[in-house]
Amino acid sequence: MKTVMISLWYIKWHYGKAIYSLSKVWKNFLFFVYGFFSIKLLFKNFFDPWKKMSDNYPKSFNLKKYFYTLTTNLIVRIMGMIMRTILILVGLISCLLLIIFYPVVIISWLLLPFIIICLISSGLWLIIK
Amino acid sequence: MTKIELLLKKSPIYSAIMMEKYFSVKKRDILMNITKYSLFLIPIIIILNIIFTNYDQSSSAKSADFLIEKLLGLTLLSLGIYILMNIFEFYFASIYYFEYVAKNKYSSKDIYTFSAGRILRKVEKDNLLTGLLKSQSVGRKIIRRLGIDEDEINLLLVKQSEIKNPPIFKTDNIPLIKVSHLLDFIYDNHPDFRNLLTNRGMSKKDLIAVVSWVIYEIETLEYNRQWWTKERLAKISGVATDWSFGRTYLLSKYSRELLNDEEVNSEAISFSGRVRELEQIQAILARKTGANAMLVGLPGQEKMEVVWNLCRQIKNKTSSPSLIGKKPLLFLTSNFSSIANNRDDFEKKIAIIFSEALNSGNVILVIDNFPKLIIQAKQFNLNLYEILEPYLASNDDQIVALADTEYFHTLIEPDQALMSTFEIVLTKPLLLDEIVKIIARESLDAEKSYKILYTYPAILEIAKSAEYYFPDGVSSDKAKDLLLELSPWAVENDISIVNRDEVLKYVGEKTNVPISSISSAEKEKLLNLENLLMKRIVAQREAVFAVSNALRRSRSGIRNEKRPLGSFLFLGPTGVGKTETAKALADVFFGDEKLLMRLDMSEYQNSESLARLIGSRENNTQGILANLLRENPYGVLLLDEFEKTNKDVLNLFLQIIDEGYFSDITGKKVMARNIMFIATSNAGAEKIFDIVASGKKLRNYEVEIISEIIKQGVFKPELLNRFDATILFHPLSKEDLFEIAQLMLLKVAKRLGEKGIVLSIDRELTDFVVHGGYNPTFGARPMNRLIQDTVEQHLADLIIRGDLTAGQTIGFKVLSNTTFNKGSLKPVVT
Repeated sequence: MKTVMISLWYIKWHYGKAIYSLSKVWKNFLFFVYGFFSIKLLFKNFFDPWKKMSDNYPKSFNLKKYFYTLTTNLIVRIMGMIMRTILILVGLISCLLLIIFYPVVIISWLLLPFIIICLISSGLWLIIK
Repeated sequence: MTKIELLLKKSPIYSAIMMEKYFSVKKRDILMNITKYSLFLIPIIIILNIIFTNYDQSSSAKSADFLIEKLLGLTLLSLGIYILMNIFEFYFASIYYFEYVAKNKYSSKDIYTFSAGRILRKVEKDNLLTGLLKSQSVGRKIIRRLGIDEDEINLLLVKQSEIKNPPIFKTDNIPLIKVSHLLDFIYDNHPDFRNLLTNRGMSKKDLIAVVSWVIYEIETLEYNRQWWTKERLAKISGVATDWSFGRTYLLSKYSRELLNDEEVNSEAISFSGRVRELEQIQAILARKTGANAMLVGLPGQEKMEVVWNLCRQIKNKTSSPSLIGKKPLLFLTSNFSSIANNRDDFEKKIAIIFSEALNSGNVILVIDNFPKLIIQAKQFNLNLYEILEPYLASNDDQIVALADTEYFHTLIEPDQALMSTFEIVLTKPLLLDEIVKIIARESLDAEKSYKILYTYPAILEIAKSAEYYFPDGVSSDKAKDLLLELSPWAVENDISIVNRDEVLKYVGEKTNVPISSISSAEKEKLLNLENLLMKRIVAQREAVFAVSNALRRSRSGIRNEKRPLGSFLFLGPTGVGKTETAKALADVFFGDEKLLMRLDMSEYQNSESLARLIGSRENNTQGILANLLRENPYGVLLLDEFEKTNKDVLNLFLQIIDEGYFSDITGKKVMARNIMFIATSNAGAEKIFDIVASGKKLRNYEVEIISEIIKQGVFKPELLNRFDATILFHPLSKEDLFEIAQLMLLKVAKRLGEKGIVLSIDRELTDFVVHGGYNPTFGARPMNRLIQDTVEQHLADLIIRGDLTAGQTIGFKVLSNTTFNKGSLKPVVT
């Protein structure tokens, strides 16, 4: 009787509240990946120089030095943009994978009791065969 | 069905509570670990089997296949169980609710918390106490923390089974039943349980504190198991967070990244009790301009605790939104000071460091020991504020300067420019309850490392002792240090449960103050203190009784712990036993006459006396009294000729006797709460002589004598009132002197006895000492001198000449009763 009752409680949870909790965990992971790759920050500072490395422009008129500084600063910014683009892409792809993964997780979850029963019974069968 | 069972069934978490009965945390952990290791090991065995099997031989190939099949079966079984255990983990986690370590997620449908449910599940016949005593996962943990042992629990359980109509727990006004509600009810309605606590000196407040400690412990474990929560995942640092921020080359050399500190990353959920300070700092740092805070507090870790908590919030992304993503760096002033060795270097480097911090865009610069930087700048004839002004005035800087209170008052407060730049946040000393909470939480780590258990009375005693016996520094720091020292000590001494007595024992060993429970030998000594003292002190019964009573009060624990052990003013003529009483006390009670410290107060008459006692900043000298009491925190301090010292010194002692401590010149507290103060004075001696000479009882004229002393301006009434007792020593009668003379001669005999020589003391010799040594003005003191000049002198001559050796007996024949010198006695050696 107790086993039946516990099994019923469990099934009620597995196909009810657990799906909601699982979705919450999935959302946590999505936020984590989004935060881990600093996507928001990278977009915000997309055009900033790489690690704030920049030269100061000459105070007096010096065309050569001016252009030299301009080129250097431009290179640093472009370098920053390239690095950020790569990481943003990696981050977004990871998020996308996670989104695609969601239905897979849910379907697996729905099938999990059967998978467990299969694993345990086939394992036992192989042992006692 | 019982009322509690009905209550249990009403809650949505009933199923989880019941399921836990079959799948407890312990069982789940065991199964999870076994299957985890199986899943790791079995495939390895299978592979090895395949590699080393000779498949050419059909028999070995057959047995190998058989083994592989069984191992494969075991793998599948392990995998199935492993997944199942993980699902259960998730199941309980999705239902478990937190009270302390995370946000409260209770809904209106919930009737009781998970922990309360664990107790309710074990309740028998609606008797709530049975649930507490039987619940291993919560109840027993609380019981153990209370310091109640298994035998007492079993006895209590037997008693409970006899109760037919236990008090019924009513839930009408409780929206959510927590463990604290259950314990509150049990305390009020179960006198047997209440008595167990009161016998241990614990109240309901202590019980509730234990509940919160145990629930915190359970929840911390649960919280740490749930690695998938938003808060836990947020702790993992992201990549590229510093790609848009400037590098801090020089600053990094002299600083430490605080987000990596153990205190920020430890699994224990921190409680520093400094919420107000943390809120203030966050509010200052979140400002768009003038985000410069100065955290001021006593030397120690308390300022850093606020900073660590700020860092923890930044890391967990629970701080003010504007601070998330910031990188707090602790600028180590001492490291920098040792490198910057000339003016230019200092100025240049400081400017670079602040400029790097400012330009980085994400650094919160925490400056450790800011006053030290000011001092070093002054040494190079520089004004630190002038160097830092451009950076401090910037809109982009975020600085937290840490300063000790003393230096803040002397160096920073007078500097208006600095004061207007920084917003001051004062760290207030924590209350005892808050310190207990911190220590209780810290103890969980120590318990894990040393495999010991701290009871709540032990934790309470650690917090109290840290404040009481270790005067320097911040109480919470001292309590933490004490906890850190206690754990290895307990392991060394094979102590698995650290209770209050163990803490007292350790503190007693550390401080040389006997603070543990009164032993039977000591009890005996305390009860017979008068008799023991009277063996050494002649005639002064009143003094002996007063001092004995004070000591008994102190050791029984009913004295005011914020005052010294005792404080007495001994008034009377010279040589009547005032000093001897103090010596006897040190010897009899404190165990050693060496524990008598002595200050001749006639040496402290001039204006520099106070500085000599508490230290002088100008002369860079330490105080005699401060050092004396720091080195000897326990014993008797004799203040001879107390009336001769100056007013400032008298005021100092007024404070010491009143509060049990004083501050030395550096502002550090010097504790005198385990010292017995005995001040002696000849004030009123003439009056005492007159009263005794006229045959009146001295006891009846005590008020008159004291009024006379006050009238003469010798002591202020407020000082006299501070003493536990003012004791009058009366002049000695001839009978008293005879007894004293005998004691003095016995002392000489004792010393001779150590050399194997016997001194024969007869009535004739004693009378000689009394008649020759008696002086109404100087009391018994001249008798001592007479013994030295006559008896001891003869003995010395004889020993040096070799005429008196071990095994011989010496006596004295009195030749003259009118002259009292060496020639008046003739030694007789037999």
